[in-house]
Amino acid sequence: MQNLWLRAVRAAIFLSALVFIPVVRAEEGIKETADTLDLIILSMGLNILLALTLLWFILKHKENFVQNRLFLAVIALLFLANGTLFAVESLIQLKGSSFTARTLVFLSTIIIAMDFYTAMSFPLIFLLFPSPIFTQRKHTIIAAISIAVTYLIFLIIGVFDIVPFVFIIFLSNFIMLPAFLIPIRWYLLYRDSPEQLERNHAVAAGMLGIGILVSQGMFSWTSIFVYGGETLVAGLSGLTDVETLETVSWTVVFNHSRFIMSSMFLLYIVFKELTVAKEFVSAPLRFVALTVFFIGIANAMVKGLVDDATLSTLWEFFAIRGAFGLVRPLIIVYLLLKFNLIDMGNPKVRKVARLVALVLISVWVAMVFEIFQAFLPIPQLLSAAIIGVVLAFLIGWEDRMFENVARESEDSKLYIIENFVEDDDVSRVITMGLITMIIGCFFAFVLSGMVA
Amino acid sequence: MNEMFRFKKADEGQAFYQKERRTTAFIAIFILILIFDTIVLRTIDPERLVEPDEMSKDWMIEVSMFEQSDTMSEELSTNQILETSVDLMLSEYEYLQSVSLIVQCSDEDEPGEGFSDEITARTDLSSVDGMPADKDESGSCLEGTEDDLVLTWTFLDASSVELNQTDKTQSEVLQLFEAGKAGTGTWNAEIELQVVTAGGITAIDNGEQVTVTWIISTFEIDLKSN
Repeated sequence: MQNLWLRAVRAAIFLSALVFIPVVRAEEGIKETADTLDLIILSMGLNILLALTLLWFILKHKENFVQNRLFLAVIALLFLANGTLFAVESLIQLKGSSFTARTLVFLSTIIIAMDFYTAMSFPLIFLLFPSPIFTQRKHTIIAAISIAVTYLIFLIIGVFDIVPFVFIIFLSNFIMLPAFLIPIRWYLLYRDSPEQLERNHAVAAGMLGIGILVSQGMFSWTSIFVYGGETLVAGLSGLTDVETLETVSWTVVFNHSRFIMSSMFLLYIVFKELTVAKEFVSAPLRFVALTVFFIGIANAMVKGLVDDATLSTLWEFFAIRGAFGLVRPLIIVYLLLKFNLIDMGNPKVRKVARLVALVLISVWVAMVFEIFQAFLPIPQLLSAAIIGVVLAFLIGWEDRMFENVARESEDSKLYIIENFVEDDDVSRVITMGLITMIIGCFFAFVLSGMVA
Repeated sequence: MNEMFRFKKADEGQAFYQKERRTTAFIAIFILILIFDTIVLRTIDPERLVEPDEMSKDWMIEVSMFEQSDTMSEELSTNQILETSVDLMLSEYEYLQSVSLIVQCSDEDEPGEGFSDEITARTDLSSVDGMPADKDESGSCLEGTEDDLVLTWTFLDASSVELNQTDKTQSEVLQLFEAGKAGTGTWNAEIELQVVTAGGITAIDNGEQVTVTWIISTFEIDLKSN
């Protein structure tokens, strides 16, 4: 009886997979192929859903370890910023032509502000997971406030055009590069440690590293060797030295260093996961690393060989924005379940977590077929039928997958530091994060007012 | 600091880089790749990194107008329907200015007052990109007039775009013509004739020759950067 409504939801998704999706997609007509707008809306829904679910977990279930709750709070803010970004982006695509120039500047600046907010939350995430770097409350609070203040200072500099935006990215790299080294060091230190607990930290850091840094050029890892980073810096503003206009500027050269670091991390994970002792193998991490590795190769091939504009646009979306809109939520949800960051012993929490997993599966299947449709424009009715079958199969399989990932075992334990911050600090971090986000949007409003 | 993450002390005669040799090696390789990338990036032409349409320039736009028509003619009797359609496709630099449907049905066999025939044109544009509005209009087949019914859909008036654009990228210039990229697909219409006879004398006035012409006005642009 307790799980009756959960069964009902599963049945509803199952039915929609078999009946409604084919009908709706067939209505779209054979002529219409894939569209990036669909993927943006999917990303928006997924990110906002995850943000709200995580906030619910944090605020409702305070019996969880405070370090887990603090990490979840920062992840929730990250997803909220990403969700806002995708919401604004879809609004521009849907209604942009009817907006005034000021409104468009306002919305476009919100996208930049949220993108930057996401990037600035990376250091905080790496400071907290797999195990907090600072064990004293004072240090953790100072780190969080410093990051928020730096974000706001950078935004003020950008809005009032005190220095070019490319210089702000240059400055932010002085924070990003040391931050990226945190998960890298966890992985380098402990991946082949004889201690299970230490290895868990390396696996968790590797997984989190890919989940977060996948948007930092991991899908373009081939560029750092094949083109000397050429394609990684293409499209950046302030490309040339102002005085010469004939050479790529030093700022741009330095700015792409973070792409090099994340790509090197990926390649090291791939190497290590293929050579680590058999008993130490982490199948999920190996799978994720190899997938990102091969997507990198596919990315180089698409950029080099494909002339079709629709396919290139769609792929570009997947390889850049899809990386943090769709790939990141999947990896983060895996981490939450695998390392018991939410109290899976609580039946209520377990039920909600399963629902999120179901939604995640549905969105992913829809997204994969949207891209598949661009490669092979088969009639919508046929692709819809395939979606129905795949979704039905995955929903049947979800039960086993979920139980397997969420079970408590030796390889899911992480080092817990008792009471390194107060319980109420979690709410304070959420409030501070939300206020910082709102101020970021306010600056976008200020900038739109400066448009003539 | 977390004891698991703390840097190991350089004891037992080992140097710091030996204790942290993996991290040290990682950073060393990172610096080597950065140097390699720096050399490559500083020696290539920056134009290689920019898509041709991403450079802001001054542009001169040359517009060439084209008009194509498709005519069909049929003798229609009372309440008979003539179905007509035209397929519209556009090449990469071609834009649609307007589509017109002209119906002629000069009522030359009209014996007198009360014998003026009428035509009704109804369109079905559901398979046309951009979803232009369907029209349903009627007109009289008056003797001596050339066009008895003219339906026009305007997409983009080429003369409304300034032909000299300054400080814009190629894609920004092309964006100005975006409205002219709609209208592709199959344009369907049906033309119905109603014979109006005084007192039902159909032997005198029992039909008309109806001529339907689709006129598609397009233009091509050629961008020249200054």
